[in-house]
Amino acid sequence: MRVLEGVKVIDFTQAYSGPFCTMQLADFGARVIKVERNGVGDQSREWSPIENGHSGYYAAINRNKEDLAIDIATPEGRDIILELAKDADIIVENFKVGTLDKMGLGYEEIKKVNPQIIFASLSGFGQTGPLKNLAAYDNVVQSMSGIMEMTGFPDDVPTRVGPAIGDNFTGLNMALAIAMAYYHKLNTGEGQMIDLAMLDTIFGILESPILFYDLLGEKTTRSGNNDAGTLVPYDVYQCKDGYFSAGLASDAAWPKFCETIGMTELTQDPRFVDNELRCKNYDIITPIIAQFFIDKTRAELQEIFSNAGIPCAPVLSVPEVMEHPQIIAREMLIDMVDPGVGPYKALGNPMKMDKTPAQLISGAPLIGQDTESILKELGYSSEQINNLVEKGVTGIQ
Amino acid sequence: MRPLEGVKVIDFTQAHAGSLATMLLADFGAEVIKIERAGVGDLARYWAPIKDGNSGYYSFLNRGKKSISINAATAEGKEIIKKLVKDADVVCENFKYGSMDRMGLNYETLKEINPSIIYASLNGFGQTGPMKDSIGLDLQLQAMSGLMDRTGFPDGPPTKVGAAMGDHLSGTYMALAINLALIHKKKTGEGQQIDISILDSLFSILEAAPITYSLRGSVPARVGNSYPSISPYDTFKANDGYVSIGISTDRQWFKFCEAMGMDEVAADERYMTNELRGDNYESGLKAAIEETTSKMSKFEIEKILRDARLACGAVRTVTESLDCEQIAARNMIVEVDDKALGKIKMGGIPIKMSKTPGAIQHGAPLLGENTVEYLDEIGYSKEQIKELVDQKIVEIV
Repeated sequence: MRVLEGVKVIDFTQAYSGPFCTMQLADFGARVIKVERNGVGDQSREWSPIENGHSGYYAAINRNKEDLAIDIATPEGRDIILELAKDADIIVENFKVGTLDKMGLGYEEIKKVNPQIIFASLSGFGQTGPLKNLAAYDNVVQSMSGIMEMTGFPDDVPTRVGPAIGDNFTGLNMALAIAMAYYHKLNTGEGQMIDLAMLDTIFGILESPILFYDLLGEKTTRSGNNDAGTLVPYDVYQCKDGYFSAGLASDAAWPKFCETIGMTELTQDPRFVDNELRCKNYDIITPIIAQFFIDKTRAELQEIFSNAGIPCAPVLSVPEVMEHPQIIAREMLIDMVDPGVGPYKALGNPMKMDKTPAQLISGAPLIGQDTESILKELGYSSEQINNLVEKGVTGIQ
Repeated sequence: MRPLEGVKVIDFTQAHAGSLATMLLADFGAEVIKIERAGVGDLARYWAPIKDGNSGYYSFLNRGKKSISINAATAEGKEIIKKLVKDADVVCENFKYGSMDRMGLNYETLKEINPSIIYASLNGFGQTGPMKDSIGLDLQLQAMSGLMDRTGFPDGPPTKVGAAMGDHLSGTYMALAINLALIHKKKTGEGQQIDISILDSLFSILEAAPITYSLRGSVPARVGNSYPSISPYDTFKANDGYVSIGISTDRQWFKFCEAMGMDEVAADERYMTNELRGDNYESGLKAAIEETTSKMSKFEIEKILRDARLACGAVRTVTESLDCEQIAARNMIVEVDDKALGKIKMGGIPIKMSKTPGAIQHGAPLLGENTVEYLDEIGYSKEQIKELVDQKIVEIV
């Protein structure tokens, strides 16, 4: 059984953030009807990698969804949405603030046909505040939140987190918000509006620098791959075939660490006897420790540090992670045949639930793939549908 | 009203990820009863920043929760826990794999007492797979997940994200999974087991890299602060820091040049289209833009480009983001009256719900602050409680 079976979602989202959210809902059984602009489609349909003329980017985050191609700016298109909304549970959108209002499809309008609707909006800066009307890209949000300033090496430039966390993490938070709103609706019958901002979400993960500043007046900055303000050694070292991370879990493990790297003399060195001194002398101790790593492979290092019970891990590339036995055992990669890109390994859902597991049933929809069946469900005749197609209001496959 | 009012959580989580999950539940009204080890308490009670012996980190992660201090290794301690679980909805834990088994508090045991219990576990590698017994700290999990490989510059080392990304992501997945399970329980009366791993969670946010490998057999190198398909999309030097911009259309490009007074660059044939700008980015365009930006301050550039309605953000330190008007307007910095630390500022609640907004009812609990209250609730007399205290089975404030 799937937990969101019978839950109907009208999904206006595009690009990455919103589709990542509705993918979570679809994985757990919600009927997600993706509404795409007729003739144009989700912008991510053009994003690389492209295979057989279809986007892998799009395929990866739109699985399990249905697709309705429609021009919602036309009166007929708007009518279809209002009809569809009558028995929907959830609407999700990530347009520029106010776009659906202008089309007469904002929360107030939808509420007239369905007072219990959960109306979820995701945007760069949110639906309120002085910056609400501005466009935002992930790099802008990462810059403004402080995460970029905190990432990278102290003597180098601030660094963007590679994957667009402003998008995916906000999408995940939105899925959580929707689940809570739906639970509330089950309990009380009441719907509501949800407003999530990428900036809020990313700012929200920076608890440590906020607390250091508020409690101690200390301003923290990026420290590369170490934690030299708190614990040394705890770092990433260059090795024979890449990079390897190893470090103490606490100060007490220092003698064990020295023994493991065959440098017991370090425990006697007055510059390194306790963690505070090692933090202070980070630049002196690091090149000494690094010598141990440089001529060994990640596999050799893994064995040495694991045997010693010291937290450690190789830095893996994406292909290496995808072949890792732990990822495979966790069913984090699932064979999927997508109607667009063909066969590929889809990402499993990280939420492992024993009674209501996530299910990957179908690939991402082609544009307008379900227009006809959805319109028929709403009571449109074949003739009416043909008419709408001819007028360019809807598109079918 | 808050959506999770009436939901009772017996919370064995410690440190970061699990505590973050139950913090999200507490923010939205769940009764979260933290079970802490008598005499020691949660590990996070010892985490910096520390002021007057009290951890700011703990106060952030445990706001709005209750604390019972108990020695769960004793028979009487276990008995108390089982009584508490009897009418609970959720049990959460993030111990090392197998610890709850050894304590005699695994899912099978607690299910006998409360068949509809939702039992959620979170740790580095999950409850299955060849590495389930391994310990991974944030750095190791970032290293293994592929996230570090995707972050940083192509000619530099893989780079750690400057926030506890794995903890935040996995904690949010856990909170979402618990809500899905609550929905299922509401509909069917059935409980279940949830298994979240930090590695899976990080692996799920690598954007297009996994599908690129799956379709192409290789993945392009990490790209630093730029983005190959949009130009210019990068972070540029200002005279006092850095600023990020994203220009995705030709129209925006000319608007950008005009706003910045870069007439010559605008007229340059090499930069007329997005494709040309991409081709000539490293060989000229980046330097041409920095020639202008490096003579201006980051906030000056931000203002000029915002007035031109272009996507732009100064790279802010976290203390500068505390001053950001949008973050303030969205209540993303809240002041909490903490029993141990007094009034402290911390990150607010990014999930904004119109009918069931989150709220921080009170600060983090002192160790054992609510022991008496709950023992009383499950039927222990004053004399019995005194005896348990004397025998060091429970602790009170």
